[in-house]
Amino acid sequence: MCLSVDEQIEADAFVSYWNGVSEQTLEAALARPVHQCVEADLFDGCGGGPDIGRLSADRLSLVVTTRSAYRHSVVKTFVDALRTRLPLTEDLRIRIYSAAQEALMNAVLHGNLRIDGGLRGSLDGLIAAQSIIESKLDSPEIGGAAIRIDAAWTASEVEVTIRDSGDGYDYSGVRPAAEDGASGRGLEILQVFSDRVTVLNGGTTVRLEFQR
Amino acid sequence: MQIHIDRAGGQIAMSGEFTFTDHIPFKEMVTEIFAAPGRAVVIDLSKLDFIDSAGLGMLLLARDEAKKSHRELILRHPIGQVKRMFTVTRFNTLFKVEE
Repeated sequence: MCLSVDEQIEADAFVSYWNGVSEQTLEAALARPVHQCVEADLFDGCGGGPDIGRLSADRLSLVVTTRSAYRHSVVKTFVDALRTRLPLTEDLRIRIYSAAQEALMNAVLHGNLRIDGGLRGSLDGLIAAQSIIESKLDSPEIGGAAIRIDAAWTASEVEVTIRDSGDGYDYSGVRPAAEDGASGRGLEILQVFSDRVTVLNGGTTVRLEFQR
Repeated sequence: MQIHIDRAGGQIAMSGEFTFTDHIPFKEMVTEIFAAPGRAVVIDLSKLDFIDSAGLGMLLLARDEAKKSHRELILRHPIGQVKRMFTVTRFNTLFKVEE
């Protein structure tokens, strides 16, 4: 979905724009009463934008580039912004932060950057992956592709949804990590820290549900 | 993530968040610490606030590097979310973890 100027005007005080510079500027852009924050580079881009009809007091959305999702602690800052809107116990804060971070990095690395998971099997493989990652992050098409985080809550539940702009991912083929394997724990962490994990839209979207 | 290395004592202190994006400084730290003489290497986690699955994976890769040089890697005093991640992933069975 593309953003339009009309939507910006209509959304007025509920939509803010982040300059992509730092966690501090993101924290300011997510400050209340904002309901949706969009990275400025994505304005008039086609990576997903404000859904005005769904904006309400009990929602918070963040749309950032893949580049910024990789380079900044967006999940930590997003969860901190959630805490200013609804009380979270330390237990729930840890569960949301841990699961959402896993889902976000899956969206970044496998959804938008399409990095081979096998490179995570050795420290040298990780170093080799870095040049590929930096090259893709510098690409306007890939580094500039959108990642979207939505949170919605009620008195009894918090729901966090992470969406990437990739072609989807077949989670049914994911196997648990070997006991001492260096990778493969992400899905287990999603399942342990969330009360329910749902994969949607061919694997481009992961919905995490938490009981309050 | 921030890393403080005590080369003489074979100790490393990590703080902040340890995630996939920290793999370059972590690799440099592993290379440096295992190039120095000594037996055990201790990673102090008491100021580490957060770790993800990639961070856990990198600790396992560091343990494998330690084994290659016949040294032991000890993880010291994980707290909060880090301690919980260790429990969830049964990390305590894969490392010597000192509380």
